[in-house]
Amino acid sequence: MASKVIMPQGGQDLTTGRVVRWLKKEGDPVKKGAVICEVETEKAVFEVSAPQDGVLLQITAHDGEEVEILSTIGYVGDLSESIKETESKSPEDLPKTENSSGPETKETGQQRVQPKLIISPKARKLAQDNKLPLGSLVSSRPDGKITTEDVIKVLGAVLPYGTENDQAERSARTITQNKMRKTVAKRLSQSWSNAPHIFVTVAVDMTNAVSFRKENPSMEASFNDLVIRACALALKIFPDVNASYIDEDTISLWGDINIGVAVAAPQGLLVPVIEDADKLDLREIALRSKQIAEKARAGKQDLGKPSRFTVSNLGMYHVESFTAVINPPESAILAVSSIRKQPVVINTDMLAIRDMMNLTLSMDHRVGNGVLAAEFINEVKRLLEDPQTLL
Amino acid sequence: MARIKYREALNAALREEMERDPLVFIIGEGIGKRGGSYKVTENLLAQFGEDRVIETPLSEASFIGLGGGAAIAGTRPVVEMLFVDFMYLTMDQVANQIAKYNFMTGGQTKVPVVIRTQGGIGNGLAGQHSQSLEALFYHIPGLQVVMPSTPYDAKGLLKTAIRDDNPVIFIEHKQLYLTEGEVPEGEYLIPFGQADIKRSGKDVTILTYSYMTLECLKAAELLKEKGIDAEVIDLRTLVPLDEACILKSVEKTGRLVVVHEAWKRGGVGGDIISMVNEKAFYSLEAPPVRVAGKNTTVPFNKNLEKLCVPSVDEIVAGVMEAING
Amino acid sequence: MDSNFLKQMYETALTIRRFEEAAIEQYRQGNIYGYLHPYLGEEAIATGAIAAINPDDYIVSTHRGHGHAIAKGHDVRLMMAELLGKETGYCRGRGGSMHVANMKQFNLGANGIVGGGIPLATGAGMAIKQKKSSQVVLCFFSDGAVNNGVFHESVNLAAIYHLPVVFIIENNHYAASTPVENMNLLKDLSAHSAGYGIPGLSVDGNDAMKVYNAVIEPVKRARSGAGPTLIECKTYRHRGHHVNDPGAYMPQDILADWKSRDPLIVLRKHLADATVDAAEIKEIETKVDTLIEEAVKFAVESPEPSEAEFLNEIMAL
Repeated sequence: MASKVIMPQGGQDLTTGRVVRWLKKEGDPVKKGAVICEVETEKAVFEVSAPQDGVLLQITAHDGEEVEILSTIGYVGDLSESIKETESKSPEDLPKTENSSGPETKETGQQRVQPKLIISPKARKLAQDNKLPLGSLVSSRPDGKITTEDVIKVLGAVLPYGTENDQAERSARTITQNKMRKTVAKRLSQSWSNAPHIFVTVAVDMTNAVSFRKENPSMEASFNDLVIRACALALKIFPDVNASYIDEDTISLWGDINIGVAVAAPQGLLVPVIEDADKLDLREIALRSKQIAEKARAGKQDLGKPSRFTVSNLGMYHVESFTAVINPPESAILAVSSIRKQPVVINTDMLAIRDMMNLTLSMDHRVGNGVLAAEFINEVKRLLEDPQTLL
Repeated sequence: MARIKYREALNAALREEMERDPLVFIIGEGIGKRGGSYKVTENLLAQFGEDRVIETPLSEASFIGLGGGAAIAGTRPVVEMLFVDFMYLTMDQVANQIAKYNFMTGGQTKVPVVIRTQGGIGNGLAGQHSQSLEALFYHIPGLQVVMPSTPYDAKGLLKTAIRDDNPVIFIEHKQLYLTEGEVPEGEYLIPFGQADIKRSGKDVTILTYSYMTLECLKAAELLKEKGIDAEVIDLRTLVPLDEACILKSVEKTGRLVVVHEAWKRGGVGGDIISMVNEKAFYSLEAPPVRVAGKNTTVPFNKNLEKLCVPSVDEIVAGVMEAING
Repeated sequence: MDSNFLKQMYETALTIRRFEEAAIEQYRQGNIYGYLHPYLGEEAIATGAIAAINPDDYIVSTHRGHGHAIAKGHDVRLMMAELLGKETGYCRGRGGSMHVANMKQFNLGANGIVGGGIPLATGAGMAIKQKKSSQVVLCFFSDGAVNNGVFHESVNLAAIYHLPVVFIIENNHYAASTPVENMNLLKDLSAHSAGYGIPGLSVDGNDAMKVYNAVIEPVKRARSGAGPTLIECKTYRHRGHHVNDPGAYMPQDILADWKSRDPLIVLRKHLADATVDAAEIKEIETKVDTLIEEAVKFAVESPEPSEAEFLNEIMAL
């Protein structure tokens, strides 16, 4: 039984109220008691809650409309219920075809049976292939139908995973996200629960790197750029790290080395990608990383190749070390901490003050073990400690 | 290259094949001196004589059967049936004899007969002279169904049909005979089972054939103004059908509209869409749409007649349904 | 009359008789199913007419077409195998009794549609004309077919184009259970020939020699390019329309009368007139019995068509 949503009584001498904005669209699922609309009377702004569990079947007073107090502004009920006359009928109600021998010019049997969730076959398959619960999808259309675009939006808050289906959509497109944080949260919790993380930390002596930067100012290479370059080279040597766990029978080893660089953007975490990082030299990486960071901070994203390995740098925040959550479907992420002067032992028994930086690699234990992680991160360390190799 | 009419392209195909193979002969009503009601067989009597350009009495069932028998006994007849509407008179010979002979004799016989006919509305010829009946022949195993839309296609496909060892129902459209198109000078053949993408696009797949191809191309121009890039595929042969081309296009666009002049109910469009549902369901973004002839006998009055078959506007509307579906 | 020729005719007619009897037996045993229309009692027509043509002349026949096939010289083993639906049959089991054909021996086939083969025969005549060959076509069909539109159309076409076709009406006086005199005011169906401007004649269809003599001239005429002839051979079935039809509508006395003029009896009289003795006849009978026995054995032991192969064949379509 559908329930009415009404303009609430705001005060004894009030006759009308105004709908400020609906927080849900027609077709959205709602829970009893959840706020679905904001209204305003002369006296105050009120939140209107859903009278029952179900779906917001119809909005009868839209944003900005003024209506009488206690009048109906919408309906909440089961999807199978109908309020409109023209809503789909049950099969028994379909008009019977004419039996006459005369010409049949009317279209009969036009109604389609309405399912609970209207989603195109292509969108449904894309969602299911990526293990996305259909209930988590939100339609961008007035009729509530879920499209492939809606699924892509959720899948790649920043980028789609690169399923077999969308190889055709690789031309550069700009998308701005408004549900980004929600999606990031979802994906990272999936990563955390599905991928058993192991963590390996090394302390990197960045003293040479510090000098290197001073001696090559025109490079404009940040410490992060050095790390990115080192990772790109290391991934070439350890291709097993450039992989994704698909299912219990399959691990995909990727051919391209695209490095995601975590950036703090106003709306949240973004991970723009340096594509084919192994093919870029240090100068080119420095240039590219600047470009993508700028774009990301402006809240814009390019839809290009997906990231295969992410570098997350909190160095500017004076952290000794931290561990990062792997960015699915990647298998590893490198957490880069601050460079600090520290006393260390060199040449077996001498003390020196060196610029030290901790790196922690998180690795998906289904894809690689501690040895692989250790070898990989040691290679990164080796390269960083000898920056000429990064050119 | 020369710019010639559809009927001239057919004429050239007949002439070239008759020159090439002495076993090819043509037979039908009024195809001799008069050159046929639509002038497709013009001048062939003068060139090849009465022995190979044979006029018939109004005995449709038997001269179609004669074509079948002559094919079984080793010649290559091209039988003209003036109106596809008259094919009803010949159905035993077409469906029970010609279509089945090779199969029932365990593969002993080739039956290389081509039945050339024409259909479709135009010119207020009323209900018994305006039908599109390809669905009948599409349904019967043992028959190939060919429906060219341009002079280029007509010539290449008719030559292939004449050289093919199995029966062919070759359906022209009365409104196409005077349409013009580029046709190369030299010899060329178009294989069966090869659709032609008349207009490439990425937003929606429009499948069609025969005269409707022209209407769909007009619709595509209107759709372009709306920002919709339509792919128009001319099927050219319904049996055999170019499934691969259809499926590839649907994978690309995710949206399908089938357009034909023939009645919607039981029309070829429904069967093609079923095939797409079976093989490419998960590529569909929206339900497939049929834009087809209304389920009625065609009336004489020419305004009413036009309402009975898809118009350019109806095609556009059908595409919008697929886009917004 | 040449005694060897007569003996050949007798052997043909007897082969047809015994083949049909064996087929009926096979049907009763369940090895043949569907339709079976025995030619019993009509053997003289196929025997006499086909004796008048060459091996490379065409024939087209009817649903009751085993006799014509045998008279054309088909291998009875392959014929019986086809009736049993076996892979070794002439049509690989795809045609059965009503569609037995052998293109190599110029038999364009039996036909399951009454009158269905007549336009095809006309077409074969047109092919002969196109190829400028001197072949002819014998087109056999029933009195029932004479009522069908395509008969009239096809004979007319053959007439106007002067096609080398001899049209032979096998008037066994019934179209299934419908008596011919109820459906035609004409007593002699060959009188239709006047409607097309071609010669026509009616003859006793139980006497193979009379049939032979009636067909000789029309075949010559056809071969000369002068066009078709319409011949009516009057005969009578010994049984109902098909194997399960008891023929209750056939009056006993009329049947008895026709049976007294059984084509085999008539041929034996001719043989006696040509002083062929009983021993020679017995020799023929033994030969035929053995042949038919072999045919049945071959057919029964032959393999069924492969289902997998069939599915492959049809999937490719």
